[in-house]
Amino acid sequence: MAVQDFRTCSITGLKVHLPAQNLIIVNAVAAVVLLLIGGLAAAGVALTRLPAVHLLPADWFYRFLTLHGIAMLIAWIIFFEMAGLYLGATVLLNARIAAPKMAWLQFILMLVGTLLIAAMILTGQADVLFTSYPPLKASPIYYLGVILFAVGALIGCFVFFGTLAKARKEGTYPHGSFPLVTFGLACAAIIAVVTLLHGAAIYIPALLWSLGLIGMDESTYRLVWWGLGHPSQQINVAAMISVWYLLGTLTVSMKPINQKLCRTAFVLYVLFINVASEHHILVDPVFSSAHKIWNTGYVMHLAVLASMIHALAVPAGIEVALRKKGFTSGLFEWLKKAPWSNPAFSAMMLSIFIFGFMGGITGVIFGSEQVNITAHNTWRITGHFHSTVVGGTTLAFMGITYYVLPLIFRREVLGMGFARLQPWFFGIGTILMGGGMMLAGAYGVPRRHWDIVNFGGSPFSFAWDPTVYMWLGVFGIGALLAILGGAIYVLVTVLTIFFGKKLA
Amino acid sequence: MSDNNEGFGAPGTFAIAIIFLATFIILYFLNYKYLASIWELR
Repeated sequence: MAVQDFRTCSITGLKVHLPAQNLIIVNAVAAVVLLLIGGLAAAGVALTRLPAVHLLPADWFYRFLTLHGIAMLIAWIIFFEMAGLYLGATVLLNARIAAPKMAWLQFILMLVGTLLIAAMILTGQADVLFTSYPPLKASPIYYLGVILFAVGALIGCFVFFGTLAKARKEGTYPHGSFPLVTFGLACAAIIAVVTLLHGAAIYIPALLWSLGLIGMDESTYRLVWWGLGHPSQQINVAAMISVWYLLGTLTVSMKPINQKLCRTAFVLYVLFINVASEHHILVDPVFSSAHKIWNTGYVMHLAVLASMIHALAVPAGIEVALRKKGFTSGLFEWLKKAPWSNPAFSAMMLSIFIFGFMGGITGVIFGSEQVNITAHNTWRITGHFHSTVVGGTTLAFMGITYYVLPLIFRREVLGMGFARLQPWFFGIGTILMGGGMMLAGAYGVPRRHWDIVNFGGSPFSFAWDPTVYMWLGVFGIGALLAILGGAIYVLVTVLTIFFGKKLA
Repeated sequence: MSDNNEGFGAPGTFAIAIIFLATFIILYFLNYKYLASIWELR
C-alpha cells in the first residue's frame, strides 16, 4: 500500500486515500450544483402552483417540472451517493479505491448524461415529465443522456464493490464484517444495480422507439419503468439510513443497539423493495387487482418493516448514547439536551421525524390499493414523496455535508450561524409544503396540472372548497421556506469550499 | 461500530414508538373513513 497516497484527517483521525478524495470532491460538487438547478426549477414550479402568483406559462411549467424531477430525484441524489459510496468504501475502511480511472469514467458519463438531459429539457425537446410515459416522446438525445447517466452510475457501483473486495483482501479494517454504514451502502449499491438494469431494459427500447426503429407497448413501459423509478428511491432510502447511522456516530458517538437486527433490516430492502414497485401503478387498469394487492399488501410491508426497524433503532442508539453522557432524567432529557446546535444533528433528527411520521405513514396508507384509487392522481402523493425524498434523504445528505466539508474538502464550515438555522428552515419548510400538498390533495387538487383554478380555459367550470386555498397558502409558505433553507445550504457549502479556513 | 445491546434501556424511544403507532392508527382510520364517505355503500 503506497502510504504517500494517504493523508490523515486532523479532526476525525480517519485516513483518506487521495485519489478517492478527488472523486468524492467532484461528485459532491456536481451534486450541489444540481441541487441548485433543481431548487431554481422548484421555485418556478411552486410559484406557478400557487394560484395567486401562477408564474409560468404552461409549456415552461411542464419543462421546469421535468427539470426539477430529474435534477432533484436523480441527479443531485445519485451524484451525492457516488461520493458517499467512495467515502464509505475507502475512508471508513481505511482502503484505497479500486480502478480510479473507471471511477473517473463514472463521473464523466454521469456529467455528460446530465448535460444532455438538461439541454433537451430546456430546449423543449423533452417535455415528457419525470416518468416520460409513452406516447409522450422526447428527442433521442434525452434517452441517450439517461442511458449514459445510468451506465456511469452502474460503473460507480462496480468500483464500489471492487473497492470492498480489495479492502477485504488487504485486511484494511479491523473487524470481520464491514462497518454497518458500509454494509448499508453496499445494500444501496446492490439495489442500484437492479434498478439500473431495469433502466437499461426500458430506456434502450425507448431510445430505439424515439428513433422510429421499433414500436412501444405503453403498459409494458410503465411496468418496467417503475422497476427503475421505485427502487431508485429505495437506493436513496438505504443510503439515507446509512447516513443516519454515520451521523449518529459522529454527532453523539452512537453505537447501533443491535448490529444483526440493523443488518437484517437492510437485507429486507434488497429482497423486497423492488417487488413493491407496483404500488406506483395501482390505478393502472392493465394489471389485475389480485396481482397488485399481493404485491403491495404483502411484499411492500416487508420493506416497510425494515424502515420501521431503522427509524426506531437510530433514535434508540442516540438515546442510549446520550443517557450514557448523564442525561438520564425523565423520558426526554436526552432529547432536550441533545446537541441541537450542531446542524448535522438537527438535520438528522428532522430527517428521521419527517421521513417516519410524514413520509412513512402516508406511504403505507397511500400504498394500499383502496386508498390509492382516490389518492393517486392528486397532490397527496406529491406531498408523500416530498416528505420522504426532500425531508428525509435530502436533509440527511445536507447534514452529512457539514462533516464532509472538513474531512474531505479540509475547510472549516463558514457561516456556522446560518448553517445552524439551515436544517430548521429546510425541515419546517418541507413539513409545511408536504402537509399543504397532502391536505389540498385530499380535496382533489390534481398532482400535475398547471392551472388548478381555470384548468387552462376548460369549458367546464369547477369550484374548489375554499379550504383548498388555505392549504395552498400553507404549501406556498413551506415551499419558500424550504427553498430558503436549500439556498443557505448551497451558499454555506460554496463559500466554505472557496473561502473557508484551511485545515491541516 | 460495535453493538450497544448490553441490556440497553431507551424508554424515551419506546414512548416515541407508541406515539408513532398511535399516529399511524389515527391517520389510517381517517383515510379509510374519508374513502368510505366518498365511496358510500348503499
